Amino acid sequence: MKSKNQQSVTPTLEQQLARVFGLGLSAAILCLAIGVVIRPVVWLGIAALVLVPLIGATLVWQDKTVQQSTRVSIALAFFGVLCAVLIGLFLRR
Amino acid sequence: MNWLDVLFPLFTGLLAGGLGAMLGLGGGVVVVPTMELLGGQFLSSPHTLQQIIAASQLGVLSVAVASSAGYLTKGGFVRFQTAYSLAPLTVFGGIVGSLLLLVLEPKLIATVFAVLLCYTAFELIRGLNKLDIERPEPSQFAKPALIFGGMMSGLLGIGGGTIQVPVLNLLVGLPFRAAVATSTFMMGFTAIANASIQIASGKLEPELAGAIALGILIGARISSGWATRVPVRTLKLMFSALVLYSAFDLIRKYWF
Repeated sequence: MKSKNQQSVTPTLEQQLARVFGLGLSAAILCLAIGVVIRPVVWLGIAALVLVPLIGATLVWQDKTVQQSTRVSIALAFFGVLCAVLIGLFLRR
Repeated sequence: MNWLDVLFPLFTGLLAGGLGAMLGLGGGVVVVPTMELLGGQFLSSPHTLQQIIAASQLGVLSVAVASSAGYLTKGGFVRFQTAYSLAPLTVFGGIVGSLLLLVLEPKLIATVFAVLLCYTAFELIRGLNKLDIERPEPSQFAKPALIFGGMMSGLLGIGGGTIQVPVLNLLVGLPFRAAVATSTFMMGFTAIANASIQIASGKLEPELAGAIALGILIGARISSGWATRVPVRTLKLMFSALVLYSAFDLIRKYWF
C-alpha cells in the first residue's frame, strides 16, 4: 500500500523552480548578511546568486515537456556565460 | 568600520529592489544614479562610475533571483519558453556591453544611459492606452531590440528591464504583467554573464556589491508580493516617472 507521500502529485516545473529560487534566495540573504561582519562570506552569497539561475536552467533542460529549440537556447546561454568568464579572466591578465 | 559605507548601499539596494521587482527592472536605474549622485556625500571614499556599475550588475542578479522567486511561487506569470528562447540574445549583447564599459568615457556612458531612459519612458507613455492583449507572432524587431537591451545592461549596469519590458510587451506581445515577470526571469542569465566578467576580471568590489545585493534581495522579496495588486496603468506611470527623473539627474551631473 502506497503511503500518502508516494501518492502525492509530482511538483510541476514551475513549482520546482520556485523551490530552487526560494532556497537560493534564503542562502544568499543569509551569507550576504553574515558577510557584512565577516567579509569573506560575501563570496558565498555571490556564489549562491550565480548558481540559482544556472540550476534553474538545468531543471528546465531536463524537463520532458520542454521543446528542443528551448534546450538549444539554454545551451547557447550557458556558452555565453562561459565566454563571459573567459573574457573576464583574460582581462585580469 | 564606517557604518554609512554599509548602510547607504544597503538602503539604496532596498529602494532599488522594491521598485525593481514591482516594475520589472534590474534596479540599476536606481542604484547607479543614487550611488553616483549621492555617494560622495555619504561614503568615506566615493566609488567610480565603473565600480558602481560593476556592483550594480550583481544587484541586477539579486533582483532577478528575488523577484523570480516571488513570481514563480504565485505561478502563471513567467513564460519559460519565451524567456529561455530569448535569453542568449541578451547574454551575448550583455558581454559586448560589459566590454564597452571598460573602454568608454564615463560622460559618454552617462549620456547613453540618460537617452535610453528618456526613450523608455516615451515608449511606455505612448503605449499607456493600448489594449493589454497577446500578439499571435512576435515583431521582427523584437530580437535586435533584445540584443540592444543586453548591450545596455552590460554597459550601464542595469537589468535591461527598461528595454526588455517594453519589447516583451509591445513587440513580443506578452501582457504587461507577464512581460514584467518574464523580463525579470531573463535578467538572471544576462546578469550572470555581466557579473562574471566583472568578477573574473577583478573589477567587482565585494563589500559594496554585497551590501547593495543584500538590500536588493530583501526589498525585491517584499515588493514582488505587492506587484500583482498594483494596476498596470499605475505600474507604467511609476516606471516612466522614475526613469525620467534618473535621466535628468544624470544629464545635470555630467553636463551642467
